[in-house]
Amino acid sequence: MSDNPNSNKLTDAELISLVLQGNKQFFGELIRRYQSQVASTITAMIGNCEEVEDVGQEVFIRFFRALETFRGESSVGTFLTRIAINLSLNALKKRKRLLQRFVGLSEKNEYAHDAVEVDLSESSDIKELLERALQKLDEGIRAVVVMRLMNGYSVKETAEILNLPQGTVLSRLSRGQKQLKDVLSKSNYYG
Amino acid sequence: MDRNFNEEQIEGQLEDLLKNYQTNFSANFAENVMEKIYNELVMDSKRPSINWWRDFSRIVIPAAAVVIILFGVSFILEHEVSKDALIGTADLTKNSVNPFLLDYWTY
Repeated sequence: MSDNPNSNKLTDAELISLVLQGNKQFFGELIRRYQSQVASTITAMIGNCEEVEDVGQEVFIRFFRALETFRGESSVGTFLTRIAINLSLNALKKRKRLLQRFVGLSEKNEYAHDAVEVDLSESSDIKELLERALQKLDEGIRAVVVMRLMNGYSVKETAEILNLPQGTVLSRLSRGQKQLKDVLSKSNYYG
Repeated sequence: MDRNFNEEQIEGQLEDLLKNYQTNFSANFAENVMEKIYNELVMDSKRPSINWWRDFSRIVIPAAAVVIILFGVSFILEHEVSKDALIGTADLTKNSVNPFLLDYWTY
């Protein structure tokens, strides 16, 4: 971890430069700065589970490995979000493959649907409710909602980060908002 | 937060909810990542690096040299036999004479 008390006054670029000069401990400050953003992105994408921490660690390790090639064309936050979204989508694919191996796909969907309905009707915590509502969205739609509505990226930035046309981002966003509204309006929270 | 939202309010509140949504990793997350990174660095420094030219020069070149020498010796031996064959002193009952080489020299 960073032992330097002044490290929090340094800019991202200065911290990266120090890390590249061999002062690896300054990377700890970068982790501290962005861990909340990365955690929120991953949790929104894959749900609140044990995997979140593992994916988060992998995000920062990949960032560390990519530091030498990081040219600062995008901000550190955007770069990390891009890695977080990609690794979350990988984790979801892995999870789906595991589920398909052990449970028939149709059977699994039936269970998942039932679980969300039950949980939403019983949930009283808005954060938990939102997490579950997000999990109900299709992965592609969820990625757009997380990028655009949660992390506040513009449609153009979201399209660039997710490598999608802007029209697709807008249509997914609209579908995502509608589905979230539907799910939340059925819950007790909005009773 | 007020629990009595109506449909219109949900739309307005959704964006705020998502913007304010925040989670965090465990308290020692940063330490764990740094530990993994340090371990990786140590492992990297201990792992023997792959030097293609070094491996190539140590294994492939000596092996190739041995093959070339063996081939050369074999060729010279065949050459001797063929010369004998050419002047009609070779023992053609011996299997050691290469019939193709013999043809070449007699031609």
